Amino acid sequence: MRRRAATPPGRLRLVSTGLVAAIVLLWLAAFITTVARQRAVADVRDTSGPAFVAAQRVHADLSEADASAAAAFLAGGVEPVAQRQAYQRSIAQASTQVLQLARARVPASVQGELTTLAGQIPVYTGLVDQARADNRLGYAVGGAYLRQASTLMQTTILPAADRLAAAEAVRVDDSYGRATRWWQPTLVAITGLAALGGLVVAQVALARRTHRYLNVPLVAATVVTAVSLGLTLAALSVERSRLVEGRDGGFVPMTVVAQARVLALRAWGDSSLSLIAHGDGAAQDDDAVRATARLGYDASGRPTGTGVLPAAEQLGGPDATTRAHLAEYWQAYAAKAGQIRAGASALGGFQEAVRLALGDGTTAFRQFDTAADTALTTSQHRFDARLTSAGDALGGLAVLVSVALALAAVGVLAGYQTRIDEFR
Amino acid sequence: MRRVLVVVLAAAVAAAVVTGCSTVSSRLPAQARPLSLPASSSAAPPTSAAPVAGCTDPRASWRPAATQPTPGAMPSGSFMARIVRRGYLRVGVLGDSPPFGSINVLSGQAEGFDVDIADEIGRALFGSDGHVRLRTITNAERINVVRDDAVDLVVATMSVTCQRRTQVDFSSVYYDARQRLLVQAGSGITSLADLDGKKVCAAVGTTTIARIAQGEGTAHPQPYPVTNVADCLVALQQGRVEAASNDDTVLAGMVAQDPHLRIVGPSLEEEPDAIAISLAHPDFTRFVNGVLARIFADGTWAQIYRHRLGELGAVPAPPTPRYRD
Repeated sequence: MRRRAATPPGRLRLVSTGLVAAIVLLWLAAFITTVARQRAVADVRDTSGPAFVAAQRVHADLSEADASAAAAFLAGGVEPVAQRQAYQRSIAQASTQVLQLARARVPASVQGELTTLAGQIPVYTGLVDQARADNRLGYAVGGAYLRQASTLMQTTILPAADRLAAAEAVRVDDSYGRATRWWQPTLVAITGLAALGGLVVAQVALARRTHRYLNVPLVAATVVTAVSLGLTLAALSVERSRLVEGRDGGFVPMTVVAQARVLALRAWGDSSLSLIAHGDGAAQDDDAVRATARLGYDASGRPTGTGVLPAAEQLGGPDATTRAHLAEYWQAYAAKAGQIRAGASALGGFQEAVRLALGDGTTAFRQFDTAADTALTTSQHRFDARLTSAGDALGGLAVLVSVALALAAVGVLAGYQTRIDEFR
Repeated sequence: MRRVLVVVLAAAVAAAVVTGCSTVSSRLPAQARPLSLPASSSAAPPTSAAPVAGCTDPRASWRPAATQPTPGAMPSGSFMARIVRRGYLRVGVLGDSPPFGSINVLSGQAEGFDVDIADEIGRALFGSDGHVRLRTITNAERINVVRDDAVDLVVATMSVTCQRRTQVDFSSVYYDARQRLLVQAGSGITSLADLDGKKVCAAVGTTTIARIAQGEGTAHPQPYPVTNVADCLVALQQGRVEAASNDDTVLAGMVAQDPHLRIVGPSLEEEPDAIAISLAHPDFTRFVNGVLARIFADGTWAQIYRHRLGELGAVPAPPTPRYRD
């Protein structure tokens, strides 16, 4: 080394090797970053994201099924066709989502929860159908079957769906972290600036020594390196900002609205179960009050200012209009629910309360539920679209950078070779 | 000068890293976290078989006044006058135990033997129908709703015991039930003695459950407690238990919903059913006893029996009330 450094051509060769090494370092940083981020984005887009959405959907669909079953039961021996269909639709959708989850290969820690969903949903529907059959025959035991079904849903199936969603949310968070590590662009920038700096300093030194100011291969290598660095940093930045958009405009509203819907369905189901209990519904009423408080309203229906619904409205973002009427619709339903509760406990008001619950109460609730579902679906699509475009931002980058930096390295070697050759 | 430039440049790069490159976290927002389930609280009042001092005859209730007040004209200051002023009588009944108290699926209203008895008391208070507000309750809640003044009466196949008398007052006995067993037809079980180690269902907060635990001779069945009476029928149909136990008439109501069940065995225990009333209103207990004495005597009781329990056979004599002063 020292011997080689003693001669001018040897020194030039050493410098050129150092420059190539700097370019290789830049290439390594850019390549590894791009590939790691592509994989992380693909994980959210193809696995944990859809699995999280599916787990949330299962929760909402099953809540909907349980509330619809209770409402249908409330109607007496002959249940309304619309309620029955709503129940069947919800169960069918939930089963589809369970399949989706199975395909997404949920983490091993929550494999048991998926087994619970797959195994207990048929048990639940069996109990509901037994309740229907008894109810149709006028047997009082039907109420006991429905209660058992609802208990199974609320204490076993829905918590399993919750844990699945939570595990998938952790996976989403983890993938987001892997797709946006702060040190990756920093490393690319540092190695890139080092390579560029080296190239510039080397060219200045070479020009001073040889008095030839333009070495075309070296200038080309510098330009290609600069462009590669710029492109990589730009792509990483675009990818990151699309992921942030997906989170703020998609993921966050989606999760908040889904929770609002689940809480609302719970309050609605409680209201039906309370009526079915004929005055013995204190536990259900308390539960409805708790769910409503979480939504952001006190027991008398006044907004408390904090809660899931105000949070959903304050989120803003591109789809804010889809969430604009949620609170209004909920308050319209809550007013009916208050009327129903008051009517049910008034002397001789029970029949009227049931009529109201099945009529205006259900209509008002469906208006809220449909709006919530629309908002949820819109946010979900935005999340999905942003994830796809975040992946697109990195598409082909690894190949492009590899080819460009290989050319730059060749340029460096060629540029120095001509100078070395001049010593012969 | 150059040093300043380097510092500024480094700061700019650091700022760019913090704002433009920082790792993005996508945690579930606080508002999207699930609402935790409430801890289920179905604490039954403690029941023990310890003897109660001074209780020699649990069936004996306050003697009614010589003349019953006429409907709508209750003595001022009495609890009855307060009920009339309120405009309705609050009664707790069972919602899933036909033929005593159950919700009619078609009408959505509670009906049964117990409900008819409650209606008679309402009629005696107000002189007309439509002044009884029914509330369905579970067996375990029967004592608490009376003590908490959530209802004026509980008419819910509630048997009188000395233990319960320390917590609530009871009217005279309006129905003499017998505790028996319900099993699957063809199961070969004929008595508690056949159920050693087997599960037997009964509702929480009933005297029935203590009787099952006590067993028969060397046979000790395992009590399987449930919240609602009808849950026993569900448990039996699902094969979770070998047998269910309750008043024979309630069991008959279950057989009416499932022809594959049989009522078997001798009477395990006499179950004198009475109306639970708060200890704070002995005047009301006397009034209720007056109403019961009248319907026993004028054939109304027999009429209700024929209507609700007629399928069980001929109408027996009404119970003979026993009183204390």
